[in-house]
Amino acid sequence: MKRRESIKAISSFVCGSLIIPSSTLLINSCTSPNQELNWVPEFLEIENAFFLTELSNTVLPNTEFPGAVALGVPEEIEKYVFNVYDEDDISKFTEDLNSLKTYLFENSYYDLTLSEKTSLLNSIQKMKRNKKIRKIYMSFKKLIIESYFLTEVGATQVLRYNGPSVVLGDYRGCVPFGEIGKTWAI
Amino acid sequence: MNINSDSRKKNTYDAIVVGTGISGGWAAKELTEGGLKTLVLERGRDVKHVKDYPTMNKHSWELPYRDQLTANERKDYKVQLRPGYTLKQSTKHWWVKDTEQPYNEKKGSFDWIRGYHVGGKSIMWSRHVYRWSKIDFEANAKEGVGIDWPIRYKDIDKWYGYVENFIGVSGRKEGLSQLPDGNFLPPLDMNCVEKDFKKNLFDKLGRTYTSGRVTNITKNHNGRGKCQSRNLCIRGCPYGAYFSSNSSTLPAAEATGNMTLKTDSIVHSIIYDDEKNKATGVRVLDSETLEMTEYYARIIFLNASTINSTLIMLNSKSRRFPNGFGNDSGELGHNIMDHHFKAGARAQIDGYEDYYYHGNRPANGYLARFRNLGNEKMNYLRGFGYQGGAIRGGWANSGEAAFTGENLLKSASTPGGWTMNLLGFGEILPYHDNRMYLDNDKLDKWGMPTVIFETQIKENEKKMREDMKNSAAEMLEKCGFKNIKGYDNKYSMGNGIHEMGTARMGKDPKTSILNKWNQVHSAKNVFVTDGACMTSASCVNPSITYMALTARAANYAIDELKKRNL
Repeated sequence: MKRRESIKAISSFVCGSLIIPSSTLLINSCTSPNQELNWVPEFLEIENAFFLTELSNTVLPNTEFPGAVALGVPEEIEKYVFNVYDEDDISKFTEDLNSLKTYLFENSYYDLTLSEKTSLLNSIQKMKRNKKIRKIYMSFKKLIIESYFLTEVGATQVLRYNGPSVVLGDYRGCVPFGEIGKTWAI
Repeated sequence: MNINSDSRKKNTYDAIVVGTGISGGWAAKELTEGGLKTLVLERGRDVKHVKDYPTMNKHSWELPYRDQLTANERKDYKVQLRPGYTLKQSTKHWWVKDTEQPYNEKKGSFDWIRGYHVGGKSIMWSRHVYRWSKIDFEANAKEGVGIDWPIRYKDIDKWYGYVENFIGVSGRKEGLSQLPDGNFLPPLDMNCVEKDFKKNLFDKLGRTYTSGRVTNITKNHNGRGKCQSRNLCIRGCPYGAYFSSNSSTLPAAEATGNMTLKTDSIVHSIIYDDEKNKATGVRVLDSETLEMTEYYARIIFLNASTINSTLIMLNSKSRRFPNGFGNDSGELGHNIMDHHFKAGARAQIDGYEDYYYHGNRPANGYLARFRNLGNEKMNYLRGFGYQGGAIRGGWANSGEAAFTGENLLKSASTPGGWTMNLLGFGEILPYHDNRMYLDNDKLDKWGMPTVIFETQIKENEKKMREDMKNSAAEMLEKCGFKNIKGYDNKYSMGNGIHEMGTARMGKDPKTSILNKWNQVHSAKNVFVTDGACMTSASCVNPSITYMALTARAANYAIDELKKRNL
């Protein structure tokens, strides 16, 4: 067995069964995506904050536009969920985060390239047998997308912005799509 | 209370108006323009047009928590949150904390939605204004429901026009007797799907879908700027492009020099003089210090809202009125109505991908009532209309395709297909046992009695809801839509925020509180012209009728004062 595969095997076992490993190498590989967290979690355990960050980065990485992590999406999700949700929903959020994390760790998530991660997430969305994991993934995807398009970059650069600073004038109901070009932000 | 004559004189006006919302603003404007020195009392804080709209220009990224209330904040607003679409970070300063003025509900729930500040709900309202029709004023008498209105359409017709000319109403003339045309500014445009729906609906079923008749002005009007399609009206409009007391009637009243506006002033009760046989003024609680002060006037206009005006009257007990002010009939607090809604249908339509719209329209279209007109007799009385329109899918569902990254952004920035929604609003009949009364054992933070509601919709409304759902689905189907989903979501009284009818008008003092001029039958210098006065509910939004009745009553009051009849 090559070294990398052996780490994957161990880490998927360790993370999947949530046994705390003593090896630093394993912690790096398993519970953090080998990158600095660019925000300080207030409510989430650091391991979950890393995971949420990595997940956000897979759903919306940097492209010609800044990605979810650059725009503070994971931090916003934490702030939103832990302040707005009722206690029961917060517990469910944390439970779901753990379930999704476990599932992805079983598939060696942190060791994959971005394009492999993308394929993995898209395959979750397409799969028919594990409906529970699919539903959880979709709820996180929705949280990430909503956060992203409420940011200034998401709303004004990716979409056609129609917020308070834009003087739109008369409402015109029936115009060729080309005149607008993109989905309205609001 | 001993008050020397100087201080009594200091606290004496020609007229007192209680409340600054949609009808109070109109009373203030008309009375002051008629030359009366008028004290206008508002229980909440002052809100100056534009200056006091703190969130009107806030971007989504400037509003915390995706514009939603936190779990902690929600604890204070359990009832105010029930409508679901009104209370946000960007609007929370407009709503009453339920913890400060709790109330009780029996039988069914009653959603009492309140805003205590200058302008009241005229800041947050949905701005739809439809004239009532002849059949609305005649229905009670014809069907033997409740009591007859003491007025007919011809009595209010010119006052609708008077109000429309001042507030500015955009709309489309359709020539319908059940939805009379008014003096309109150009209508809000329809989008491509709606234009075809309008044509198909009329061709296939002879029914009318029209642009929403709203107080969003499509041309500069009376010094206010026209609508810029922001659709952020509920936060307050920097252009003054929709009617509110703050943007329109109160500045007009202020300009006369005859208005004294006092905020933080909760009216406790009406003072009745048993010797003079008339009301002489009101007792006012300072909302901060709870100090009580009396103010006096020759006439009093109660415009505190459907529930609060009646609360004040029920709380005004005297030797003459042991059961509440003007309550010889025992009807005070009874016959609460609203519009029941949240039943209708939504559907999708193929095509139109090459079309979109420019701007955020501040109001959907309106599908006029078509039931129980002429000789048609459904298995229920009265009718309903629909607010509704078509939109293209936005970015919210962009996650549904199995994409991430660039592909996801591309999918989000391409609008989805078209859907149309028809949301029914139906008439609720006046039922004597739908009522509010006071709990004198349970007081609010100002020491005022709290309200108990006993309200529910009945068979007539339930049957109508079936039809609201099925007819919407049928119309969408006939007009070429697909994936049609009829719905009947839970409705509870008050949820339409069109509460009305607690001190109804009528011909007979034995069965009503107010006469045909909105005067209390047994105390003619007190006028009630807010939603409390309504004898039936129609199915159209009620605010313009409150405005027209207020203008009519105020001008009558001025004439009567001149004739020394009051």
